[in-house]
Amino acid sequence: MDFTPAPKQPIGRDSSGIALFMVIAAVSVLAILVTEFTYIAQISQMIAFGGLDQTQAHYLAKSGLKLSLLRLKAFKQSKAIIASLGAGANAIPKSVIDKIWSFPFFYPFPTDIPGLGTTEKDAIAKFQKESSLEGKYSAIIESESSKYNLNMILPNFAPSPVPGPSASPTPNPPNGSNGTPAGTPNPVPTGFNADEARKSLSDFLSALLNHKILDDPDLADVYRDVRVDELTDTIVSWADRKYERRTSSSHDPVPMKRAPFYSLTELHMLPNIDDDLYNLFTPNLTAGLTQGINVNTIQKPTLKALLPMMTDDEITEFYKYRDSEDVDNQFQDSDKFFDYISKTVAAFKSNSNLLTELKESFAKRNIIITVEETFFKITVKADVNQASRTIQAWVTLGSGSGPTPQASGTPPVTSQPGQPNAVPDPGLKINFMRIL
Amino acid sequence: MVSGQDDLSQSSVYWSPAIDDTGVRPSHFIGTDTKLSFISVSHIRIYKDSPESEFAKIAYEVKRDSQNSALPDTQVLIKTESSNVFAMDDLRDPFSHSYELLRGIKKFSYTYYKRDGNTWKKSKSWDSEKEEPKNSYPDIIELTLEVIGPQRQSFEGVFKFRPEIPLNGLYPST
Repeated sequence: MDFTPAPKQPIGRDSSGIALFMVIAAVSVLAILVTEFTYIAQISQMIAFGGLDQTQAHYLAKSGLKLSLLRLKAFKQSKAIIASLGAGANAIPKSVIDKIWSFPFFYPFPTDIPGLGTTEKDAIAKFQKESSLEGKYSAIIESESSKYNLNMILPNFAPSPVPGPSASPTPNPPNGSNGTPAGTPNPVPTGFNADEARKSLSDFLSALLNHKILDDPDLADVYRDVRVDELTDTIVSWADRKYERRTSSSHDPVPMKRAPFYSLTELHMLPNIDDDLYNLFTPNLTAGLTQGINVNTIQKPTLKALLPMMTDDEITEFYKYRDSEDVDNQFQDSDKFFDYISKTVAAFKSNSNLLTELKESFAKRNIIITVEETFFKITVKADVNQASRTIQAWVTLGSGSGPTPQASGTPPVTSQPGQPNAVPDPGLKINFMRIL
Repeated sequence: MVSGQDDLSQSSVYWSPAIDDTGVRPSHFIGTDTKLSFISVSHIRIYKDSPESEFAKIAYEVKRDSQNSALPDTQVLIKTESSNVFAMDDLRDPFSHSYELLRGIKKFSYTYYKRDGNTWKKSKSWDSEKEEPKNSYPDIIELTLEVIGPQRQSFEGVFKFRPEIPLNGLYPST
């Protein structure tokens, strides 16, 4: 029997299994497409939620700012009420009134405070749940008068004389609202000596540097080559147009401004101040329209630099005395401060002329001792998920007594043309503000 | 280096003449139909030890877009900024940088509003040196915009910008 062999499939024409490859290819393309779509959708969602978080953080920070302005307004009105009490005003401790603005504010309210009962904790939790405010923020109000003013090297920027404690302090009206970053200078004060003021700044910076090195000996190597006289030379050269500079200008990254400091951040533009030095100096400096140095809020580095004759023990005693919780030892006027140091600081006890010399020296250097705070820095930092917004504002207490600024609700001025409102004097003025 | 600050009576695009012998200068806001320039106080330093403060010169301007061959006769919105903020010479500024923000602009127009009692003063230009009161800024800036996209889609919008930062006391924005 003959068998006819089956015809052979030509080599390369076998299409069995092609369907599998087509399915795999199709699934691969679909997988890539689905992955791409999912990725784009996720990115879009993240951008949308990020934008939402940014907006919420922005308005949360603004709420914090308004609440801080409300606290300053309450502080101002409380002082006015207390001043109207006359002799009875002394019964209310100054430190208690200052707490209205100085106490740091946090939201959500912390509930792990010692002494807080279950009822109060539940009430706070209920309020926070009902407020529907997402995120958290901190609002801190600081005294700017506790710092050394860089513009004190300029004769026209001498602080105005400070009124007594019973009077309502009237700050030097700043002119910074309509585009003028600095205030209107005062007439040249009698007794001012430009060289003394520059030397004072140099001494102040030296003292800050030395105290930093003493506190942290590891920094000695870092700051060994810092020439404070050259630093002072460039700072004065930046701000004082009448000053003849001694150091070379060849390393200046930008031209000298030759005008008063509007902001401390201008120090970054000077050739010999790097970020480390900037961070060292600026917590104790200000460029604001301060009335002087407030001894009721003065910080340790500033006090040390201002009164280098005080020993560490005397400085510790100073803060123990001033910040006593049992007795109101806040200084009622500058004479009370001078009286205190003359009785407690050994250098003054042993030399009765030293106090007079100190007062004369302060006058020459534009340094006025004050006990009232009229210039504040508000810092609000709001966080909503990953979004963060910071508002900084420098506020002066004015003489107005308009309605209390609203902590929430509709702003008093409309935003649409054709629907304006009259603007009352709120008694506060934001001289300078930035949103970051 | 000469700063140009030596002449107290000199003004620039960004700074007005000094108001006293210390050299304090009001910042200068100039707005036209297609350009506005001002000093910002919200500049953020990024690089360590960079010579920058929180001030910056900012300008927004529309110019003819000669590089956009797909959409001829359109304009481009350009932002120019400089951290060399106190220099009076704006023409030779090595710190100045420009960025193209938006292409395909067919129509672009700024309008400036200032509150005047119970009414609003409307203007197509603004110069803080010449305004009354002097050195005042607009309360609202309105931008009318028409943009054409690559597929000839078009977009028209009117945007109103209000300063977030109070220019006088606490108001308008807080």
